Amino acid sequence: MTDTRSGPFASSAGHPDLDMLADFDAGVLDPADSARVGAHTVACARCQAAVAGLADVLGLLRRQPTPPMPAAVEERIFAALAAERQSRFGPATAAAPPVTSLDRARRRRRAGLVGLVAAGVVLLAGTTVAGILNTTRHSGQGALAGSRNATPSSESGTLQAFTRDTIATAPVLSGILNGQGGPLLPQGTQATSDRQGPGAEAVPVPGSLAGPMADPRQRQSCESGIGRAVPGRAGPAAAVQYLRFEGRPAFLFVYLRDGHRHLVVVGAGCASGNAEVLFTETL
Amino acid sequence: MTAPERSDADLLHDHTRGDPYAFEALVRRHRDRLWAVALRTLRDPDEAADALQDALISAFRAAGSFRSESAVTTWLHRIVINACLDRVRRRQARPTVALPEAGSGEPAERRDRLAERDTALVVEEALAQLPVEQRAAIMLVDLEGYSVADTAGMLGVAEGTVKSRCSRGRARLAVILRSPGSLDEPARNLDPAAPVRPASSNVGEEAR
Repeated sequence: MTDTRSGPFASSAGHPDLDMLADFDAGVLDPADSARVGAHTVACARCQAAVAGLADVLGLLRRQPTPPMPAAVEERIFAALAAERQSRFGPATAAAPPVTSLDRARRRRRAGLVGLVAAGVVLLAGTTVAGILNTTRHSGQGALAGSRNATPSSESGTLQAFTRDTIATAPVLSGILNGQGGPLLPQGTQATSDRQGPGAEAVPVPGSLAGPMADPRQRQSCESGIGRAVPGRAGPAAAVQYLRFEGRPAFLFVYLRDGHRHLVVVGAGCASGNAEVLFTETL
Repeated sequence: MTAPERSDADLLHDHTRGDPYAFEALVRRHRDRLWAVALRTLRDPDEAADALQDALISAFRAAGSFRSESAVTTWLHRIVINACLDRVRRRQARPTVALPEAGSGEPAERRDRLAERDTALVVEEALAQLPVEQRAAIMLVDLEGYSVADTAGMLGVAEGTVKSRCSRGRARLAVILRSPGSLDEPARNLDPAAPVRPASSNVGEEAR
C-alpha cells in the first residue's frame, strides 16, 4: 500500500475501511462519521470503487435465484399439513392430496416415478374416505390421455388427473347421459365408477367420487359459490367428482340444463363457498 | 372463465373460517421462498425441513392471531425465520454444513469460468460464511426484498440493527466474493483501507 492520502481514519492506509464504507453506504453512520467518510469518498477514486463493489454485491444478491423446494421435502411438508388438516377439520377432509404444479409433476415423471398405467386400466389405490376406485372401462383416446396424466398415488393421493382436453372422460360423467332423460344421480352422487359391461355387476365405490363434497354442507356452500361466479349455474348440481385438474385438486360439478351437460371445474378451496372457477364447458 | 385467484389474505381468512384446503394452498404458493429462507438460515436440508414443518404447523394453528396490518407473507416468513434461528441458537456449537446444492462436487479452484448457475452457487456459499444474524438480515432484505422495517419486525430488532447487519454482511460478502477461486466479479470490490484481510489475499488497486 502506497497510499499518499491521509485522513482522520483509524486504518493504516488513511482510508475508511470497507465496513465503514458499507455503513456509510447503508446510511447507518452517525452524522459526524458520515460527513467525514462522505468528504473523503467524494475525492477518493479508490473508495468510490469500493462503494461501487458493494453495489455489485447487492446486485448479485438481488439476482440470486430462489432454490426450489425439493420434491421429498414437499411431500413431507404437505403430508404433515394434511394430517393437521384432518385433525382440525375432521376425517371428511382426508381426501385432498398434496399438490404439485404441472411442471413439478412433469419433472417427477421424467424422473421415472410414474408407472401406474397398465392396459388402459388405472388403479389408484386409496383407502381414504373419499378414495376413488376407478375400475374404469373408459376406452378411447380421452381415457388414455387421462391415464397418462395420472400421477403416483404417493403424490396425488387418490385423485384422478385430467386436463381440459380430457375432462369429458371423467367417470362421473359416464353416469349421466347426454341430458336426454338419463339417470340423474342423487345429491350424494354415490356414483359407481362405471359399469363393467353386460353381465357384470356394478363395482361399489368406496366412499364417493364426490370426495369432501359428500358432505352436504360443503357441497351446498360450494354450489352457492358457483352460483355467484357462473351465470346460470344456481342451485344444486347433478353430480360432482373430486379430481385433479391441470395439476390441481379440484371439483368437477355437472349441471344438466337444456339437454346439455354443463361442466364447471372449481378449485378445491371451493369448500368454503368461495368458488375459484378453473374451467367451464358444455357437452 | 377463470375467477381470479384468492389473495394470500383471502386464503388465510378462509382457513380461519373453516376452509380445510386454504392453508395448504397458501403454503403451496410460497413454498419455494419459505424453503429458501429455512435452507439458507440452517444450511442443512434435513434440519431446514424439520424447522419449516414445525413452523408451518404452528402457523396453521396460530392463523387466528394474524393481524392484517402486515402482509401474510411477512407473517409466514417471521414464523419460519424465527423457528430456524431458534434452532441455530440451540446448536450454536455445531459446525455448519454446506448446501448440497451448492457443492455439486466441484472443487472451488475450478470455478474460474462461471456460468450464471455457478455464480448463484458461489453466492450461496459466500452467504453460508456469514454469521447467521447477518445472513438472515441480508436474506430478507436483499434476497427476499422485504423492507428494513418489515425485516426488523420479523427479527425482533431495531431497524438500525437490520441496516447495520446488512451493510456489514455486504462488506464481508464483497471480500469473500473477491477472493481467489470465487467470482471474478464484482471486479471493483476492494477494501481500500485494509492491506491484509484474511479472506482476501489480493491487494487492492491503487488509487488513480
